[in-house]
Amino acid sequence: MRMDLARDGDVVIVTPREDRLDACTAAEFKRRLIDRIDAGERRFVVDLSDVSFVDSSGLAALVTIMKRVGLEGDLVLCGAADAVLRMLATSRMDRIFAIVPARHEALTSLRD
Amino acid sequence: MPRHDPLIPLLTADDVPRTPHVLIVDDNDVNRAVLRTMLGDAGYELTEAANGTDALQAARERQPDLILLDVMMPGLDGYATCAELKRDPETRDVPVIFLSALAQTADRVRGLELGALDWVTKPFDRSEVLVRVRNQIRIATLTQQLCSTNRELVAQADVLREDLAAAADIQRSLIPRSPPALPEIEAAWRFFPCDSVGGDIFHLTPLDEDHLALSIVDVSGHGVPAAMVTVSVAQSLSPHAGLVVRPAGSGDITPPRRVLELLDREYPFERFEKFFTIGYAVLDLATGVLRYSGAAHPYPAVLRRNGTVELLEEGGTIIGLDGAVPFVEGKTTLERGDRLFLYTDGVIELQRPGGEAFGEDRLTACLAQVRHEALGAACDVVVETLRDFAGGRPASDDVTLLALEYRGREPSATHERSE
Repeated sequence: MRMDLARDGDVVIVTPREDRLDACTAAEFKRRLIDRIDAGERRFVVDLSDVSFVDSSGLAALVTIMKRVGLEGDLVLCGAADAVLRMLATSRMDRIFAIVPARHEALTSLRD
Repeated sequence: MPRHDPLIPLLTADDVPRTPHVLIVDDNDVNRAVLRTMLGDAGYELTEAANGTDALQAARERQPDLILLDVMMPGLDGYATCAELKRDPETRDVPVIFLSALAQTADRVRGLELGALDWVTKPFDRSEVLVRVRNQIRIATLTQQLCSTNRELVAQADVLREDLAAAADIQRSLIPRSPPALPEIEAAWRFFPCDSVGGDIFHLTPLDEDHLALSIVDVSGHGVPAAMVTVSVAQSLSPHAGLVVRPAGSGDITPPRRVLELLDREYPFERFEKFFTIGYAVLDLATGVLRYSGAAHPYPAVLRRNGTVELLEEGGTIIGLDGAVPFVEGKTTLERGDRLFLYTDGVIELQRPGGEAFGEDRLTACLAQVRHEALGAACDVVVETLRDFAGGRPASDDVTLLALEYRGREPSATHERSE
């Protein structure tokens, strides 16, 4: 899967460059983030601007990452399209993930 | 110990499991002697033949790794020998290199067309012969290894396919075979796993004479891991497991909210790195009261007799997050003729070729439209509509639709039961 990894201070900014975070792409997405977690990273912003659809595999990948990041870490989602936000709301995951509209807000929230 | 030319290394141990064996075929004693020295020094095991007939016999008996074949020989010449080698299944795969004073392109082409792999013109250069011999043996060995690996893979794939078919049978045995024979309800379902095994499962389970449990489960992901989790969840939801009804005699029915809490505790996300969504409801067959809760599952739809649709939205988040969001229970009452539809996200997330999803609105509209059809026929229309929507493409997710029509309880039946 195509994905950009950038850094701002101790925050890793992950931008999947895929239309769908689904069974085809989620496994690699998860693996690459877990590699970063294993390498000691704990603070992540996932920018979903390019993603128009997240299915249960994609959601499972995000949950895995959230669980691996743990309580001392941070995972903030941003850039989610309406359909993705709807999916997160239906599954009540909007009450579990930190979700903000834009990337700069995600970074601000992690600086506070 | 034969001398080994460091510039032209022999095959490594990985390439060939034993000393490679070359059959030298030439009617000229001097040529054979030169080749014998050259190849022997390079470490090859050798057999020699002075004519085509002897060469064929040696090839069949010794199964060499390569044949160096002269063209112009009395009796059976090199071309005829090569043709015979390629005709015989015993020797067909042994690589042949022609070694000849014939230098015309037409001669080479004829030799290569007969199935030889290479051609060296006499007088030959020592290192050229060694390199060509080594390369052809390496290619043949790797080809053999590839073929044998391929055969093993095909055999393994066959075993996996059989296992998968067996797993699919086991999974199918866990979904209901026929609707429970209850006068108060009619039920129907349509179930299309997108692989041979799937991540969806559903149940209609009488809990006692007055209560029917309905459940629909969608485990994240597809294939064998998801299917195995469905088997485990199916077991937890069976009445014998003591989760949906309290064990042994007490007859207490676990409220839907509590069922989801217990599942949430039993299936922490870390257990399989999978989660599932579930729609769970308990219908009071006598009164039509339906208590339900959902764990991030697509909202069940109640289709009233007048054609209005209500979505059952109460619930919590996915199973496995350790109570991160409390499960809320909802309640509604089914009247005679009302229908209840449970389904998995494979229905509403089914995509048309442009990428647009089928969606809740299309589903509820479709359900309302076919409300005068018999329940099974209505399900068929939904499936047909989905198929048309997807433009004939196979679904990328399991598609499950479970439908129930409430018929109420006849007063006489109540009477009989209360006696």
